[in-house]
Amino acid sequence: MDKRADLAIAVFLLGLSAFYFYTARQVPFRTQLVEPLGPGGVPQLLAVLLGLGATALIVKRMARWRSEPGWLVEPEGESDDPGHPVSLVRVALVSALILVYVLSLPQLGFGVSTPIFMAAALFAWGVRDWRQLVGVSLSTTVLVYLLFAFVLKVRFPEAVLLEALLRR
Amino acid sequence: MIEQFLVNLGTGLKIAFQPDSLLFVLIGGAWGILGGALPGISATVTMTLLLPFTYGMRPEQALMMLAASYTGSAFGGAIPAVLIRTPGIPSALLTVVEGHQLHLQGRSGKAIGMALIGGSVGQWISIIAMMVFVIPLSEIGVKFSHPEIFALMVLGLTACASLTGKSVIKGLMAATFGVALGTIGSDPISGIPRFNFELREMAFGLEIIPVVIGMLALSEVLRASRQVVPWRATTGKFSAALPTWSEIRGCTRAILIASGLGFVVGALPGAGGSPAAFVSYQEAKRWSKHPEKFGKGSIEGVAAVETANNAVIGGELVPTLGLGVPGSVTTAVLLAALIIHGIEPGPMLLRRNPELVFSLFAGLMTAVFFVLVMGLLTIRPSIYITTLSRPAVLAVTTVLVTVGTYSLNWQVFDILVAWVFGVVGYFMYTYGFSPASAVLGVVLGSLLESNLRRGLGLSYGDPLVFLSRPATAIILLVAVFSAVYPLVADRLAKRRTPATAVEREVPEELSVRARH
Repeated sequence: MDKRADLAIAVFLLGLSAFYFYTARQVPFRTQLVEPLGPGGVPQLLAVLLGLGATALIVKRMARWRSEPGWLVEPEGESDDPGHPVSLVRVALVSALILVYVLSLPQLGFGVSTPIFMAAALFAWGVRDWRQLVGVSLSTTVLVYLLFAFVLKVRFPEAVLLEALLRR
Repeated sequence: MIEQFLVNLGTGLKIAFQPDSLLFVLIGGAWGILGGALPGISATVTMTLLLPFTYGMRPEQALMMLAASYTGSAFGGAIPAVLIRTPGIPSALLTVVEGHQLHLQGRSGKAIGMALIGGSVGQWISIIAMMVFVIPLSEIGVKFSHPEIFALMVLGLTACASLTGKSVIKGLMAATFGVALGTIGSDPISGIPRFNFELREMAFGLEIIPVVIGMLALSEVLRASRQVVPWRATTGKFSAALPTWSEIRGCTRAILIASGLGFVVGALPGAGGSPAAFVSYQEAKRWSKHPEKFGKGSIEGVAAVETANNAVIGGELVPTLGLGVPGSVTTAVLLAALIIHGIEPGPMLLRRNPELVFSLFAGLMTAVFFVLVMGLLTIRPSIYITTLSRPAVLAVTTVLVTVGTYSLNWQVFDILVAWVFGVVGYFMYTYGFSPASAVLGVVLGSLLESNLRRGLGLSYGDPLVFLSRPATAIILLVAVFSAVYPLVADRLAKRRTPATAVEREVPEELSVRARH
């Protein structure tokens, strides 16, 4: 883990807790109900706790800064599997693909968005065999649709844009 | 009292044996076996993926289906542990040590079969023990007022938060963050809007399911995208031959010890399957007639670990159902299901909704039977688990998350929330802030706040009410201890020489993540 990123996150959390505290102050402290703490009380308390936690993390990181050589330190989060390269670009790409998939659902519908998303995501995850790309994407789309539409009676997003295009 | 117990049990059995209830339990169990058998998809994620689909069900059936999924996952995790040396769930680590050795010796079916048999016995014993302990615990809890319930919520958060991840401070911050998320929407007491940023969709707060599913399931998909790591190909000669009666009898002592230990450890909030499995493994080795076989493919070792893994389920449900304090993050998902159905978890659950609790008892017993039967049928085809494509599993998981989340309210906003918290959860995983702790905070947050404020209301604003009431003070003391103890233990451990006897038996290349 990069200790600079860890420190930056702690600073970000300190800022977030300050923002949360400020926003909590806008909430009325008293209402018509007779109650000591009020709707704004607990959020302010939580903001203080988060701020204290972030400060502790910053102090802890700074105290060890010089004693830990280099930028990389023992990860406190999930460890990666040794021997396999890490790609943050792939994470960003998959995250963007999921977002695009979600936003395209009401426009293009489940039947179009899903196989496109699946093929793109499989490709991002290293699948290059076109039979697997096409086969898994289409079969999953069909099976999920049949299961959810007919068995579980789940309503799917309407393909607004697609329908408009087809009407023309 | 016994008469009431029998009446409630009868009602529970009636609900559990309805055809649709049986079907949901069967589906839940099968889903759990599949999810548990896929490395990287934990029992919690498996259950979380089912959560949206339980929205339209009756609360009793939703709970039974989710619990059945948990039951199935506990067995399913043994399959990849034996076949490809990768635990399907974190607590199956020691199954890797013994079970994979058995697989290499051409005794795969004996390993998986013993995991199934030991696990089923462990679950039955722990479910019966749960029935015995939940009722008196709930009777004690019913006498609790708002300060005590607040203290229980704090205990639930600190106990689990301090045990997930390497940094206690980060774990507690994650839990606090989760509670803060719960303040979005309308105030639980006065109803006035808070933190909704004028968005219509957030007027009543964030829906729990998208937040939970994003933080636990979608974040897992993003985390798995960091590396392209194919599942290990299986080696060794597969055999579906089950353990003989003589082998099963030889494991009786290990199974009984592990059942008891698993139940007791499971009842400690935040402890989970891994400590239960480790302790049971050590005790099984101590009491075994053949301790020299441990580490080289001991069927008794597999029996001990898997029995304990499964017996924790009953133990975890004791504080969950009796007091509303989740025994683990997985049981917190059960509490989330209750909240979604408008049922408040807590000590009053058994008194207000006895049919719910008793149908869960009956549903669990049914689930164990179904998983036993399905498990026996799964042993031979289980070898094909290793041929599944990891990217395909991830892609299907994403589609299920999307469809499931959309099915709640037919709003794309909910899926966007899941995506946002998927990204947040990814960063949390990466930098040591446990998303599981945050989910606990989301689930318990509203109860914690309303009981804190009502507790202060009882004492006209005097905060000493939380220290002057003996039960509240004791519970809060335990909560503080559970938060501080890991910090102290960590410092003491760093001063000692590393590696206990059990840790030495675990090969170094196996790195187990404390993943929920």
